Amino acid sequence: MKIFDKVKILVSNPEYEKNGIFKGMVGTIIEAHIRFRSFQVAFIDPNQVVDENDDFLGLRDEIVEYIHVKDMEVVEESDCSDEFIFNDLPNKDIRWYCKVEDGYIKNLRGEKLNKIAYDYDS
Amino acid sequence: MLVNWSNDWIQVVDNLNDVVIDDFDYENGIHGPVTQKHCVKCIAVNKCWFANEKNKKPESMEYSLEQILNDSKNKIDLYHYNCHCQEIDILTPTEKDIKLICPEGKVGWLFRDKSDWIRRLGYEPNEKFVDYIKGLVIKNYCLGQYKINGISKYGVEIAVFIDIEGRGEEANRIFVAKSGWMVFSNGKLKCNTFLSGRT
Repeated sequence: MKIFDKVKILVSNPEYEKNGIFKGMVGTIIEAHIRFRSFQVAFIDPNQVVDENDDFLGLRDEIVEYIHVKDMEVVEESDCSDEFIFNDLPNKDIRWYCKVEDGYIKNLRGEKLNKIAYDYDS
Repeated sequence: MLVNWSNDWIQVVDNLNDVVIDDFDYENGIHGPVTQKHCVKCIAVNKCWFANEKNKKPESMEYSLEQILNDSKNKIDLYHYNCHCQEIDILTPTEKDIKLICPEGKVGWLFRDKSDWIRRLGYEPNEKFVDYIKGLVIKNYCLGQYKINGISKYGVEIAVFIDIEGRGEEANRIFVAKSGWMVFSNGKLKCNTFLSGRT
């Protein structure tokens, strides 16, 4: 799991729902770093009513939300390189966690944030 | 010389706390030890600039008359009891006062997701278009053309309303869209998403 991957929400969470994010919705990770064990994810607002004849050329509203890594799964991987991820980290600080692999939240040095695999709060 | 001083804009200042939203620790963020002394909201808004209008600045705490009259133990303050934050009048920011923080990923997302839309408007998805949007964001933020969407441990999220001029077949048309940003300290804005939809 990393930037530009498409992800699906696995849970119903009141905190997400009050912002219009529901279980099963698919969005795209749009920020490289993991903050509070969460990625920033953009979703198309499914409640937006768009008239085919409207004059806005099809631009849809987005909902941008921080989603805990345990609450989503990858449905389509991006081709984003480690170099791109590194260049997108705040202050290019390699210590930022930026990937989820094999049940661990990792940074580009391979260091793990969680102690127990797949227990992302450990 | 006339000074352009007004109370149109305010800065939230907590003189007892130097930590601001852009000081996130790479691991713990504002969940760190600082939160033992200051609440997350007060850290998120510290040193940030806002237009002095409803929905454009953090809502202050509304105390009931009973609370004001009867609660002598706690000090009535800005966002909560015993809050250290104050609103300080500042000069209305000019465009040169604003610094945008735009991670490359946000440009990548704009081009990946909205290239077709950009072309239909008569532009090319390139740095020139990004600079055009950045200019609109700075100009309209300074004009107070934004609203607060939410305040959380991630900071103050705002939508800036921008009016994009169509070109080519769409010339003479204006498309009013939203651009999503986080308010950081001292005039900095960090991009959430360049184009997040219509108003």
